[in-house]
Amino acid sequence: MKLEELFAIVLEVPQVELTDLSSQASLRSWDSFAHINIISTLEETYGVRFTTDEIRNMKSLGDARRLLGAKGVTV
Amino acid sequence: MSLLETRLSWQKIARSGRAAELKVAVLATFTANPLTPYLGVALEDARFPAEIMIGPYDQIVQECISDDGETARFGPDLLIIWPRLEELWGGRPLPLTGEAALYTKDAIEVAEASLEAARRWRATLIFILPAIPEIRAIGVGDACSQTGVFATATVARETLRLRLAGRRGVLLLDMEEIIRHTGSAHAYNPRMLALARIPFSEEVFNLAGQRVAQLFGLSRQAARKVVVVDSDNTLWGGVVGEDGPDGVDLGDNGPGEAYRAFQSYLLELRRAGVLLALCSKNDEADVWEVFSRPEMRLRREDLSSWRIGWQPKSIGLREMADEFDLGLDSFVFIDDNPAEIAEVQASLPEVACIRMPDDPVDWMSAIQSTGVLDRLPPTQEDLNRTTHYEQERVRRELQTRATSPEDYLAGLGVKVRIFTPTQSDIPRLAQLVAKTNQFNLNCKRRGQAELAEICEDGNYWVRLVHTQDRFGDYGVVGGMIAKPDSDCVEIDTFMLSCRALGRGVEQAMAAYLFEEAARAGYSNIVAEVIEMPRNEPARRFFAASGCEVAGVASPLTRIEWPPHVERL
Repeated sequence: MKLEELFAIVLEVPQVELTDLSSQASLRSWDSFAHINIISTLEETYGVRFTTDEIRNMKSLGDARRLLGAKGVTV
Repeated sequence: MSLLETRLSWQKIARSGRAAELKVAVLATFTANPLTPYLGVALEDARFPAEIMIGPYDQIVQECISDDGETARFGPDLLIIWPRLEELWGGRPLPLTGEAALYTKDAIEVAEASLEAARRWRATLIFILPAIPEIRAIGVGDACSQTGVFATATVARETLRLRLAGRRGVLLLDMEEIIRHTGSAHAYNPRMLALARIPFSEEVFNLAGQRVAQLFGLSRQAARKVVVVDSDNTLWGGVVGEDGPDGVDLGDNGPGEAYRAFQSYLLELRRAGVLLALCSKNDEADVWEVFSRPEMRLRREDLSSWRIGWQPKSIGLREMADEFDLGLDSFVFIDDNPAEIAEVQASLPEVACIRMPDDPVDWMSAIQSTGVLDRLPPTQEDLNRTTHYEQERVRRELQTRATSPEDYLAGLGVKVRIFTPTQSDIPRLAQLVAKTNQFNLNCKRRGQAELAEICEDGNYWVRLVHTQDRFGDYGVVGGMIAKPDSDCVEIDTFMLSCRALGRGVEQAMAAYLFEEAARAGYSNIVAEVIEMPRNEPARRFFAASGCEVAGVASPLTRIEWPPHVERL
């Protein structure tokens, strides 16, 4: 599943509106509970595990893509 | 359904705008928000569409004692209280040499406040017993201490259980069981605890949601009452038709031991009030010959019914349902043969089917993981049920010999006592209200708390009915609620357990109401029959007494106390 698609369902926003720049600051639905939901969803979908710091610093869709890439997951 | 699918499914449900029938408030000592989707979906699946609110973080007592707090304003029907000892003990050193009472005090305060809130809000309370904290300053040595973490947490947990268990409207869920089931290595989420005060993994929230829904369901719906088992490769190893009665495996080294352990489990179910029955494709004589073997723990007299022959098992089950006068949704069917399971499941989807695993040693997890036999602790009535059906068999034999219905009834020696419930009778009243289907005027399902209030309200007449006859004591089998109005008495609730029907008890109940009404100066009694899927017996009775049209309040024609029924 494409990363944009995952973010779109979890955040309930149209997929076309999402880019690597989409962030906690630019999306109203990306609040602290949605953030936890995003983390769980990424970990469950890609079988990865983020550190506490990574979770705290993942502020945008691009951040998520970079962190996943560093763990060997290309999305 | 995966965890993600469950969460997305809740998003969809929450967005659909469907009407919620249950308001659920969750108060925890931590951030409990991840529970919402799992609990929401589990309640939805159990047919309790819910609206869920998570109360403010770590303010259980404050929310419970306030009548203008967020929770009070929400007005929950179900209040879930979920404390952790980690937070309740916060700010104190860990138990090491201290007094257990010091570490129990806050937990009890939470319990008292939540009991009081549930009472005021007329909510069902589900209290989640906190698990034993994982932290041990002295590690393995903690077990050697009478005042260590494990010992102190155990005292706190059991003090809570003593305070809460068995109280009406209160259900307990044990976090220790949930963590044990998940495995403590997968139960916690230290990253989310540090970031957002979320202590548990999604897996634990999911399981907690399912358990809450299951527990709530047990309090609102009747538990399954009959277990029907196959014989070959279910009660013993091998096939009696091929291996012979002496050849089937009941030995104590190997699979036979597992079959015997399963038989012991069936006997435990029987003790808890479950009826046992046998449905087997065999020659009957062969089966009874195995039953006479000394290694058998299950005896023929433990069975309340049996069908041994070559007809489809679904037919046998249907016949038993008629015989017991129970719905098929009361049945559990256990068989090793997937074809038999498929046949029963296809013709009788209400029956819960469990397949005995190929290796019988796995019987326990195969059965217990389904949860279909889970039930709340048995009441006295449940415990009497097994003997009741045996009495019923003798009674039917007598009926076939009796010359006329009048002689039969006169010979039964029916005795009826009608009384006003006291505090201790309210759980039974609530059980009758929740579970009586066939002889029920309108199937009005009130919760225990509300019934308790009605009992105290002087504007209602509330009565319970105790019945016995020469074959046995049925216990409290019926109940009535009536409300005198300006010019007539209105029947609000009128129900009688199906096992006491057909003996004149229902006439006696109605006659009693007429007598009470006359004493209070009323000559009219009005009843409105509501058509429910299974209450035809009640509709028939009231139709014969003037209430012919369902949904219309009509006066009841006078009913006299039946001469064959003795008043107690």
